[in-house]
Amino acid sequence: MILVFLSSGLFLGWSLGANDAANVFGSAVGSKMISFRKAVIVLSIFVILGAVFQGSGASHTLGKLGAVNAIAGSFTVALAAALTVFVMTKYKLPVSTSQAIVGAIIGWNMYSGSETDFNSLTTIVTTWVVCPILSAIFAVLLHLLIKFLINKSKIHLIKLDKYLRIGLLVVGAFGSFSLGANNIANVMGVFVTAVAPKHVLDLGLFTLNGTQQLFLIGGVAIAIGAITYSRKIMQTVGNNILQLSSESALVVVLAHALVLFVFSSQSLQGFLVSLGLPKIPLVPVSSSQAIVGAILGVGLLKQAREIKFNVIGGIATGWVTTPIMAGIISFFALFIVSNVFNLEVSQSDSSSLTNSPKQHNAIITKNDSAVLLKDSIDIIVVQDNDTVNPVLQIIKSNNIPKKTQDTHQSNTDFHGNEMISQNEDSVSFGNRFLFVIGGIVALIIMALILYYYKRKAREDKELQEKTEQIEESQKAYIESELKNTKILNESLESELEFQRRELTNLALNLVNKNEFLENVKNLVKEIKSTSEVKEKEKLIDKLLNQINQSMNIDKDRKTFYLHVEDTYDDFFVKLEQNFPTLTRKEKQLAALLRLNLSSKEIAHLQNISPKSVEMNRYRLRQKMNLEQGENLTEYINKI
Amino acid sequence: MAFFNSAKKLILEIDEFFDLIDKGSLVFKDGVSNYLKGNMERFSDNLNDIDQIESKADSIRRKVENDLYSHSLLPQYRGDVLRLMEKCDDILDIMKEDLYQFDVEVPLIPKKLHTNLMKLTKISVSAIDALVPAARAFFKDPVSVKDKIHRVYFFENEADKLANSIKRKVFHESPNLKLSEKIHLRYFTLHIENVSDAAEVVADILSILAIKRII
Repeated sequence: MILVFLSSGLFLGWSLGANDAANVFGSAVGSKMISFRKAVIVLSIFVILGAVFQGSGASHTLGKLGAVNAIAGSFTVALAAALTVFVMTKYKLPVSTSQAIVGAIIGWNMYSGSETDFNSLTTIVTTWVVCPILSAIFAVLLHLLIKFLINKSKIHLIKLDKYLRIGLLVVGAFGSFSLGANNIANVMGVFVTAVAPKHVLDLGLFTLNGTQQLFLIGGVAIAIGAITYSRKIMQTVGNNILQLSSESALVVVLAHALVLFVFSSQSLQGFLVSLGLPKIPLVPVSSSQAIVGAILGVGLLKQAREIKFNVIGGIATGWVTTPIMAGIISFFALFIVSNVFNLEVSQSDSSSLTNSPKQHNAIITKNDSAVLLKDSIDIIVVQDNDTVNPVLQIIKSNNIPKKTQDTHQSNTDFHGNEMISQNEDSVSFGNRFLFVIGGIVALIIMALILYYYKRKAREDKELQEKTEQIEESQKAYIESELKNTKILNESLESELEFQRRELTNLALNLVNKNEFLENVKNLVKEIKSTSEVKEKEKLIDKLLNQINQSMNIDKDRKTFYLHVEDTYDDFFVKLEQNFPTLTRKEKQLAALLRLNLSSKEIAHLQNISPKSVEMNRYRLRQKMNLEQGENLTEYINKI
Repeated sequence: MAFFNSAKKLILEIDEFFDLIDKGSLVFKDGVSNYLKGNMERFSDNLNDIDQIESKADSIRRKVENDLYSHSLLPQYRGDVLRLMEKCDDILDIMKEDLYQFDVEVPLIPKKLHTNLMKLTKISVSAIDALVPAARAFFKDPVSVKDKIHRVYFFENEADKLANSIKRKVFHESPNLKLSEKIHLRYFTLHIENVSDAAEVVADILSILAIKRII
């Protein structure tokens, strides 16, 4: 039966394991520095160790906030916290079990009429604020230290990778231990008063008291949550707020682990007190809060260019909404459990005697005698010596002085109390009515917030899809444009290349022909000097053949210049615009220079001497107003 | 212990890879020098050497790639390290290709250009000489990478200037050369210049990687 009631706590532990395991190993697994399997094995072992051997400190503080003393109440409170975590996770709102359980306990306090210990509440809320700040400070200091060490040691990247892997595993183990120590109070804290076994379990090497046995079960639930459901979260966490390098991941997890350790270690607390330093409160803090603080610290150190502040804003919203939502759910769930299922959600302790008269009367009716009442009071006193209420003591000392006292007398005494109770009943009813109204209003606000977030998420998704579609179509359009332009450019370039080659070939052809004419000239000279007729005829035949071959020389030259003008159409237009005084010959010379032909080659082409080409080049330079030292060919190529 | 042994082995492999790049640049310089001097027998040895160096570097690069992926090492820098090694390997490829082009195409290089071409080769190789320590520094001391790669940029710039000057000399001050020979010479100047360009590409990658590691 107890296990059925514990189920909500176990579910809460499971969801804590599923969500918060990513805080410890998310960066390492996400960046593939550590395998998921290795991470969950280490996490499971150390989270249980932390929960069992160091979980009582934070749990005690939570107990002070509100000691849920009936098993059905514990079940409902844990269920309310779990539901809050579930709903907020469903709507992708950042959530913390610490805040959820605190909200749920306050909801129980309100329902049962117990007073909320505002000192504890203030301590807890202050810690929520201090936690991310402290985490950020730790992260900054550790980051500076690690960077300094890495830079100083000049360690090889491969070795550094190995050390970081070991470091992440060790720090992860420490983080898991601290997570178990600090957050087990969230999971099992509400069951301690009502469910914890009384007997001590002897395991040979060590013994486990009732609370530790309860925490062992909670630790196992956290471990199962991590094993079964944290893989996906681990693979996506870490990159949500800031892209983390392995070094930064190590720093963030270590800072987070230290913060959780500081707020859960009784030994550290004792050590600091022995040094005369202020006492650190042992409070369950949000693991996510610590991680965010550490990431923020590292981000600020890196000048915060990459930090996604909207994610942090969302987390902060969750911090406010989580306790409120958990409180409301807890209040209404307790109401349903107590009135629909007729289960006792809070035992009639001292405060409930004052604030819950119906329960008070029920006890009287049930026992119907002072003897029995005294016995029951005795039991309460034995069970909870620390919380003996003055009212209870008054009842004990004044109204039931002896076992032998007359029952009627005692009933008369109680009638007086009944009168007081009736007055208090009306006050309590007014308070409850206000709570209900306030709860409904808060519930409506919560529903509106959830609706707003859901709508915003849907709109964001639609917008993203539309943007992606537009980007896709734009990309496709640009790609097709690029393709077309590329094809066009390629065809133009090939055409240009073809024309250039043709031009160069033609030029070289002309050079050869000019050389050939030189040969003809020499041949004629040879004929002239030859006296033998046969030899002369032979030479004349040779000459005729050669002349026939070179008949098209003028035609070729004309074609060449036409080609030049055609190919460098733009060039000629620019020449005309820039230097209107240039003659046709000079323009042709400029075109030939643009072809990178030497003076000798140009001389052959134009059938003039190289010296004349040099002279023409000089005139061209003057007409183009070139200064001394400025290269003519380069200048022409730039036109 | 095996955990650290595999790391040590990988470090040695990466170091050996950069040794090969360094060695390859020396063989390339020697090869060009031998070709220009006409020591064809020694040039042939250079060809064999660079062939072996290139193939060994390829095999080391593949081995490192395999080790990095199979042991899931350096998940955040794996791609960067492999790209760095690939681009360094490209330098070796270019130098090997250049020497083979000398061997196959047997370019006619006028004596007056020998000094300049040799100087261009030395400057290009100097870019690699400056690059290798920078690449090694990326693994151990990323802060010093920036101080080292500026020398690569300097040598690349010098190589560009010298290559332009050689090309100008070929086209404007060598009337006795045929156009085909000029074009041929231009290509060979370009080939040698490409070595320093490839070093510059690696330097660009290194400068980004160093920033990534420092942040």
